[in-house]
Amino acid sequence: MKGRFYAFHPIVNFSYYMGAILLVMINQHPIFLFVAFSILITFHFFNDCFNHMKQWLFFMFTTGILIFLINPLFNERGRHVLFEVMGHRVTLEASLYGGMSALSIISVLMLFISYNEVMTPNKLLFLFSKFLPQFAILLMLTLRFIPLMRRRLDEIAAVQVSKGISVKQGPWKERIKKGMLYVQILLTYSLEEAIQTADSMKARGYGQKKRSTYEYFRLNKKDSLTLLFLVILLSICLYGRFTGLGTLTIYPLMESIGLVPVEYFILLVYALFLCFPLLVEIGEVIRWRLLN
Amino acid sequence: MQIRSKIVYAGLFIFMVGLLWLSLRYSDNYLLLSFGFVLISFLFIILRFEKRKMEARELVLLAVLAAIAAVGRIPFASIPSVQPTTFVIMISGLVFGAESGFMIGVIAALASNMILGQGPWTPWQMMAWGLVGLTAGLFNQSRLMSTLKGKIIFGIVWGFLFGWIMNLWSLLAIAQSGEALNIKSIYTYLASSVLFDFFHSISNVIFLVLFSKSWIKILTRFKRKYGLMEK
Repeated sequence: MKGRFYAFHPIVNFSYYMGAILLVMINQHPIFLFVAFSILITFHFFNDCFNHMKQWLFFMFTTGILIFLINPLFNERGRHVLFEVMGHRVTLEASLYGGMSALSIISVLMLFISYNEVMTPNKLLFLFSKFLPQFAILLMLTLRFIPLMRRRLDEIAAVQVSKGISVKQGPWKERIKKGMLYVQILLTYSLEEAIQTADSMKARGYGQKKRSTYEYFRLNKKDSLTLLFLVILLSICLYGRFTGLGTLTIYPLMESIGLVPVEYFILLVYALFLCFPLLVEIGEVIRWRLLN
Repeated sequence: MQIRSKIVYAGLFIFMVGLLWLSLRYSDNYLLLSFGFVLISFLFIILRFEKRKMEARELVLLAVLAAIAAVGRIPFASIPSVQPTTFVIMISGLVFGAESGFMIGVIAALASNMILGQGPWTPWQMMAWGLVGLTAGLFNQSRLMSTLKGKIIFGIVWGFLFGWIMNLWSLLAIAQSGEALNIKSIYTYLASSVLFDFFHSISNVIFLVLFSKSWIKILTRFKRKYGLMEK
């Protein structure tokens, strides 16, 4: 997705994802979770017709099922017995708990899938370099080395294959040994190169002044207003959660699933927060139509 | 500067206590609170790392080792559950000390997840590999770790510990739902990954037996040749 939401300042993107993960995890209520789940599904559909979600689907599904099942399997507590299997009571309470945990985890995973798309390494590094500059440069160097090392491994493999040493065949013990020999060659090769990299960094003035960043993100008025808006929405939800709204008490006695009037308000704010990227994109589409 | 960093550490500490208190009150949110706890634990070490002004050569060295740890999986793609990442981090910790070992582990996990995709497992993976490096560095002066036998025990233990730490996030997701967490379900859960953990341990042992001597030699020579990380 390279839409309007993507174009916000990294701090806005990051705050949205952190806030959304927080909300999805603390509001353990079937209705809240269902709303969150539907919003995220719509979001992914609207975004790229589940294109990115496809490769995670199996993992999401198995994790969800596992978490959903394990609760009624090990937990017999509760007053509403649904059925009994071989003396094991499966209660409504335990199943509800399992279902809520599963929905919450799946929602978190869906949020991460879109996070991976929106928060590019560049944006994350920009944020890090403000607070943890040395950590940020270490991360940046590593990210740069990973593709380089991959290419070097290919080179090494090409030379080794010409000598008849291949990791693709032979007994697995031999293959492990040969594979590690590749990595050892990579190590000695890269260590010497590293000194050169470091010296040229130093020659270009590393450590003399404050570091500049490759991509500069300016926090403009729109970004700050958006950030304020998100923070207000989040605070309302958190306040609600602290006073016990937006969560379902199951033990010792299950309360009714229906919402009290104030909770509808909290639910609205909650949905508004989670919907935010969706609203931004829809707003953009409408504006585009109007301008044409 | 001194006073400021003391305030920061005190703040982090208070925050940790606060999270513990919250976890007593809101037993439904273990998973979330544990994320907070893990992130603060990182900050303690990362802030210490920030304070030490490092030479460019040392930084690049750490980055090279982290990148090798992350990329080292590639030649083993055809052999299931064999990867030298733990081995590389462990040897780096042994040679360059606890702090460097921790940073290499953390960065290797974070960087490889930035390529493969982040998820709720990221903080746990960072923590697990970071601790591999940290403990290797802490024990590098001990008599046991200077023998091959000691290193092998270390490798076996970490093969299983790593899997258990990685299981924690989903275990905590289950734990926050009422009474489902008891000894029985914990055992079942930990047992579910026992085969993978076993392979992880075995591959650690194979790498240690065959390569620990040469890798330690290479890294130690390099360290002495350029006078790196000698503080």
